[in-house]
Amino acid sequence: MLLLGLTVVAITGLVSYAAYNPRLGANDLTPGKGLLGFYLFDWPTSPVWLYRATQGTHVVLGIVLVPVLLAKLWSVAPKLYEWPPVTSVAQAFERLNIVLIVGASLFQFATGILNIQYAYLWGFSFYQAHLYGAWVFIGAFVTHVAIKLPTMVRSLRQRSIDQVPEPPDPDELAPTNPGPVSLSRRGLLGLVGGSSALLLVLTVGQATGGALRRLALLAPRGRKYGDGPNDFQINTTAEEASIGQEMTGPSWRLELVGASRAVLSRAELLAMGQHTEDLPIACVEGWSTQERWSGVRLVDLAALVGATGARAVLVESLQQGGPFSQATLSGDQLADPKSLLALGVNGAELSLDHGFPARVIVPANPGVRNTKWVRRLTFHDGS
Amino acid sequence: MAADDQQSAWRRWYGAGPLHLVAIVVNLAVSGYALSRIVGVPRWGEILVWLGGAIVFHDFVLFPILLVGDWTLRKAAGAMAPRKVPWLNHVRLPLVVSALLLLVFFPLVLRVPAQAYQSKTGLTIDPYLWRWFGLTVALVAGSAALYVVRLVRSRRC
Repeated sequence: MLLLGLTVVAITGLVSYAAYNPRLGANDLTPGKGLLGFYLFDWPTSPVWLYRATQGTHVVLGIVLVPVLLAKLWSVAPKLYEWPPVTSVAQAFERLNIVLIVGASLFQFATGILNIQYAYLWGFSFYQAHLYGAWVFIGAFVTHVAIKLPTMVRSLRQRSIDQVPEPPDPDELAPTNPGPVSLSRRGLLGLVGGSSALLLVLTVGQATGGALRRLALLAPRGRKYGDGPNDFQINTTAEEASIGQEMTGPSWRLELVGASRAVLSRAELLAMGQHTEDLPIACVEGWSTQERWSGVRLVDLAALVGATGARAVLVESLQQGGPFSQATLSGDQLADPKSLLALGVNGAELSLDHGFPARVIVPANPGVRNTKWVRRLTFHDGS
Repeated sequence: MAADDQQSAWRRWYGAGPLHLVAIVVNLAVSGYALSRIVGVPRWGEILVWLGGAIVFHDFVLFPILLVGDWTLRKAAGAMAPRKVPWLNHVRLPLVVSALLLLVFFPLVLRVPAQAYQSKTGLTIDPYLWRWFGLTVALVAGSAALYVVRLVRSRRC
């Protein structure tokens, strides 16, 4: 179960890296990645819930696996105090492999779980540490599974789950002289399974929304803001981004750069063809929420400056500095008719915290890459 | 015959078949390469400290705390007269689950990132402590209620 679960968490994690379209502009937050940042495709825009599903799975499943991981580590803990520690070259390698697995898995769980709670207890870049840590883990994990596969198959075939005492196994994990049993095997499995189920109930609502969100009592993003059109999860308040009323008032203009240039006021944008789309905001932190956005299609804005068919667009925010004050979208993302420069949400004007006067919303795009408080769109050929 | 001898000599020296070594080399190549990527990024020393620290924290803090806590409870249970329905698991299981919730969500519960939480979400971090506390009370109460049910049943039979 842990094997399957960790595989899914690792793959959805790598998928999330690809979802940032690291090929383009300054999107890649791990510039020194070398061979580790490979990905096979440009991130698609359909289905619109794609990133919501992959990243929700990554985060929620990661949390749900905590009890399983701890139970696994604690069930093999006696091996830690084995003496003599090394009996052959092969075994020395295996122990090194175990150190890598244990260190990297605890590291990945700790950094991921702290990151979604904004507890940045470190000075390094989360993106870099979590990506490279993932590969340390993957390398060790795949080898561990390959080495232990014959043992696993054998024991799954032979051992009846209720047999006490357990038959001796080659790795000597079964206790040879067990103490009095105070919790049955079924009880322990119940404890681990029950804890995982409880963690699932307490967090999954932040990814699914709806009625389950009420049960997401301990999830960082399980909370309700109110009943208004703008009462949904905010990612970084305007105050935090140093966005003031004076920057977003009547003097605000959107600058378009393509084959030609154009400068538009909010009233001029509202006078263009308006479109409405139901699209999720899905954050790398594993929460998401679907809302009804309305605004101007990005392709229509490209057409205004003779940039139809552009292969990329650089979106810049009023926000100064920080990795998410700008984002480069791919040609496919730009061309999707659902991709909007949103001016309103749920029938109302955008609130300042949600990106007033205008924000990008692109289907299946990671939340932070739907830039808020947009000031300029530069269409180019993607180089 | 000679091949068999060679193979067993290899096994004696290495301790496993040649495929084992292949798997290990792949592992060291991938993990080692990833570690080499860490070296050089800003504050990379700190990343390595966290990688090693995770093992130390788990093996020498978390695990011993669990063992000592469990040992103390068991000793207390053993010192008392045996009951018809043992109470040990009705005490330690809700506590273990509550401790697990705290382990996973301690930043929110203990309000570690109070400022960052507010600037990210626009909400205060305050409710989490009470939510965790409420869940703990519910777990303990649920477990106690179950114990009473088992006790009543055991008397009836």
